[in-house]
Amino acid sequence: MTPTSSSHTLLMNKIMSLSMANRMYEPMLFNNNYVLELIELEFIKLDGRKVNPDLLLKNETLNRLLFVECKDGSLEPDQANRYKEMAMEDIIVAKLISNLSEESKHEITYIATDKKVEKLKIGMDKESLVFPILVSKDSIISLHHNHFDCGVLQEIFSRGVSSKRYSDTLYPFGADDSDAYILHRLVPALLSFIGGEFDPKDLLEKTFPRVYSIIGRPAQKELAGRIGHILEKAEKDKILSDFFITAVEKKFKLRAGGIRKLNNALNKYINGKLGSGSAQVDFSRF
Amino acid sequence: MSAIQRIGDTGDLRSYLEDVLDKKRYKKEEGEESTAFKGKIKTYLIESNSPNLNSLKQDRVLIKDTPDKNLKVFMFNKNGKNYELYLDTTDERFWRIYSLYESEKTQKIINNWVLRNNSKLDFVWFPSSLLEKYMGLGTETGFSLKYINKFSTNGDKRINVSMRFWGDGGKDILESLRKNTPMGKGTSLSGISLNYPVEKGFAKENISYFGRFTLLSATSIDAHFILLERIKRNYSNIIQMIESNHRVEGYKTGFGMRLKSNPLYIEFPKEIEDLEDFVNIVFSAKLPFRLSGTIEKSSDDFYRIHAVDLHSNGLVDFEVAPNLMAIYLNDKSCGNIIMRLVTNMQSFMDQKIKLVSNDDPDVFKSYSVNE
Repeated sequence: MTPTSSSHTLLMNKIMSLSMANRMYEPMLFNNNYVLELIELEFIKLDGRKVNPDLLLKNETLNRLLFVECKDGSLEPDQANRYKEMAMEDIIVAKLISNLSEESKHEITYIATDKKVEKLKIGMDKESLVFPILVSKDSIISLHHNHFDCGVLQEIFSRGVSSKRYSDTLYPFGADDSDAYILHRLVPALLSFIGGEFDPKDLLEKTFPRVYSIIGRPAQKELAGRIGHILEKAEKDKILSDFFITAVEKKFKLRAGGIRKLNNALNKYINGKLGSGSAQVDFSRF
Repeated sequence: MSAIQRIGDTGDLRSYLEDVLDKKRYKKEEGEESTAFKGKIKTYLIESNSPNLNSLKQDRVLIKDTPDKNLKVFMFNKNGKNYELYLDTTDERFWRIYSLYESEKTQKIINNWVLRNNSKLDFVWFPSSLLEKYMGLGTETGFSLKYINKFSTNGDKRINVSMRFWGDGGKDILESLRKNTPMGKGTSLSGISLNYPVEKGFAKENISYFGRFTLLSATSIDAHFILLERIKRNYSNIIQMIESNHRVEGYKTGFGMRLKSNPLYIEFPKEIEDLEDFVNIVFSAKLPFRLSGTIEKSSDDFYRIHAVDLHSNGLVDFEVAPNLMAIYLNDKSCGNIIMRLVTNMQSFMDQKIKLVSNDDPDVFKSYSVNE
């Protein structure tokens, strides 16, 4: 059985898929002019406090912005209150995106899975916050709590939006993902290094070029360290040990040839030995 | 004297090929199907992702340099006979290999260069719809079809059809064949023949779906080169369009990351019945698709595949549904994979298979051969 991603990775990919053009499924947000603008944002408000929502969508037709926080767990009150105090002026002055004016509107929504959404709702009510909360349940994303200011969002999420099909290409994995899932997503890059030497950062750069380019050096090192640890365990395992040979210039080397055998062995190891548990090391957001 | 002793640069090669064309050696064999391509000048267009030339070394194949750094000569002996192939790398992305031999004598050597894993080389692949457009560059003089229902399931009878038609009115014949059941879906062009006019002359050529140009007759070798260059430029523009517009790209802004995703899709005219079989065949690391990776079954009618393209080692993600296959090229992936997939799926599944994008319901149909 294929390992599954963390809830954070899943929710990120679902919202991104809904907000970009696609023929494979109906991107309901994109079709209603809410288009993905930025991911993994971080900016400073005028009061000097930092905000870092996961996603920003822009609706040029309605002159509106939607910030999305993929939060499969308890509410972080401090973070939520920073969102509450965020004004349009903060966004305009930060020059996050072009063509904004005092008339532009913004709102913030949280999204969680059905397993954790009640926790989030309780936290929200406790802080007397009124951010709309979306829930992803049975391949439908719908409004679970509070309401949107934007009538379009209120309408489409009150009805529910199908997310049965979504793409996981744009956000392969995050810090919350399990070792099994991360290795599973590294398989194509590993196959591409057959016969050659590589370091964990080479795998990351190949698999995750888009995100890898924006994460800072300490986070890069931390993530590469985790992947190094996953591979060190893998090369010692009897399923995979024959495929690894001594590297001279870099940390790892895979024996030349046998691409199908290596692919099968990696899948056997991932599904058999690693299982699909959650991350063993708690890494800060990268 | 062997040709290599006389050929020092691409100019000499041109003169040599002109001599071959000019003299009695170029027999008039048109219309005789079995021998028509025998001893004819053949040029293979090869898509290159800049491999090290040393990686082209094969057992018993000698690579000789010439004074021209862009021209190499490959020499080998087969069954006691010496062979020479000429490799012109003037265009770094699209190489040319010239051969004067029957295909069966040299195809294996060329395949060994091009089709092994991580060769960084690929054939240029002309989908049927593109070949049909190239027919319009001159007067059509024939076509060939090849179809194997490689993806047949449910115990369908294995169909392996090939056909060659010589003569005028090829397009009309093709149209009527396409109306025929069950022949219709098996009418993917594997080659075309055309008479290409140039100033004060012509080139009569056969062009195969994997980029082999066979010069049947011509007034000058330049006519062959002109047609070759014209088609190469058109193909190159398509690859450039794919790589410029359809790679997933991301760049850092001062506040986060901006992503650009504009996948391409292969649209199937008839729903695939056994999706699992289909993905297992396409992503088996075998020819002609040259793809391996991890297959994720999301549901019976939706698969995700995180793949590696074995020709370039670039990463490509796929999503497959019964009527559609989405292709996400990584930011350094080679666009030729799209052409390889469409061409071979048309040959193995259905000639009506189309390449579509978010904005274009038929990419090749709307693409002008004059671009």
